Formats: sequence, structure tokens, C-alpha cells
Amino acid sequence: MKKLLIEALIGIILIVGGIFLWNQRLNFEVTDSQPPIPAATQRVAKAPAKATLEGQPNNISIPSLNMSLPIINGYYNTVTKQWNLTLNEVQYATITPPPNNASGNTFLYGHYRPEVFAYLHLIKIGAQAIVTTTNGHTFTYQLAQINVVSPTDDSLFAYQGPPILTVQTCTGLFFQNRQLFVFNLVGAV
Amino acid sequence: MYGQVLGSSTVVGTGAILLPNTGGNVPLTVAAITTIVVGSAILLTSLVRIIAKKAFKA
Repeated sequence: MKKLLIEALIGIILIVGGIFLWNQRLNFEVTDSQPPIPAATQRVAKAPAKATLEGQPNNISIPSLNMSLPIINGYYNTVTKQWNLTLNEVQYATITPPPNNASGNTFLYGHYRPEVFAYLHLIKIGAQAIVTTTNGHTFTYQLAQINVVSPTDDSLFAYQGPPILTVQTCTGLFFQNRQLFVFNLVGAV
Repeated sequence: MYGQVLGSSTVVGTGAILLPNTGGNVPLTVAAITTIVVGSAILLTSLVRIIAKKAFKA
């Protein structure tokens, strides 16, 4: 009987340990302090030619989710094929156009963590996202579609058209997919 | 998925740029699931054997 109780205790310890590992799996960030990125690839999408309003994004808020998060720059390392990623902030992919009212796809991404975008999947079509910039502009977007794509689907970087915002976080049991929330611009001041 | 993709660059549209991994650590996820499953199996079999032993004694 004692042996069985010890076995049961081992099982409990393993379960507790597994739950601990499960909670720790999101605690990682990628920092590339010296990204060897050729300049030619840093701005794949051309900056909007006729932009009347544009700026460096510094905050995104989604009122329907009671979410407001700071934005920092996100860089792509062409050698490691990794993006810098922090635990508590949203990254603006600097290879895409900044928020503007002329054209292009502004790309933001953030960790699937409670502090960032773990609850983003709860957003409904038609919900608004408000992006503010360091030079005082406010861009209001409306969610138009939600897509799940593979990590190799880079078509968003080739987008040329009316100004949109794409926000990404990961999805899937092993985070094997990327969930893209595509917003249309509805206002800029 | 983007209706107006033009693919004007030599870099994009070829899978050259991977989308950011905004999820978690995959090995840690596998380890967590494995540990929980193995732990649950051990706990379950232990409990079944304890109950069976008590029932047999009774």
C-alpha cells in the first residue's frame, strides 16, 4: 500500500510540474541587439507617397477588449529569420509602412501572453483599434477579417492598397500558426 | 489572402520572411504535455490499484 501511495505522489508531482512548465512556456523573448539586416530588405513595402498623416506608432488600444498596450519597433533578422519580441509590448514591424492615411499595410505583432495578445482572439468583427503616434496623430481602424496562416505566408508584406492594419499573434496548441487580424482604416486625425 | 498583393519585391511572396513566432517555447510545451500525461497516468493507475486492493481485502 505504501508503494502505491508513493507512486500516486509521484504522479501528483509530475502533474504539478507539468502545469508549471505549461505556464512557463510563454516566458521567452527574442532580442537581437545586432541584427545583420541588409538595408534593402528593411523596408520591403515602400513608404506611402501621398501620406498626409503618418507617424511612428507608440500605443494601440482596443476598447472592446479594454486593452491598451505600448508599441516599440520590431526588427527582422534575415540571418536568424527571427523578429525581436518582448514580453509586455507590441512590436511595429519597421519593414512595413507606419500608420498613415494613404496606403500600405502596417504590421504589428505581439506575444500570445496575458500581458499582450492572449485575449485578442475574443475580438469581434467590426471592433475598433486605435493607434496613436509619437507625433500626435490618432488612427482608428475597424476589424474586417481574421485569418489563420502558416509562418511562411509573407503575402502581407507585399500588400499595396488602401491603408490597413494587420495585428498578429500566434495560435494552435504548439503555436504553429499565425493569427492575423486585419483592420481597415476608418479615421485619422 | 490580401486581395491587392502585387508582389513587387524580390524578397516577399516567397516565404523569404517568416512571420514572427509570437507563441511560446515548443519544446517546453511538449515537455509540459508529456509530463502532465505521464503524471496523470501514474496517478490514475495508482488510485485504481489502491481501490482494487482495498476492495479485494474487503
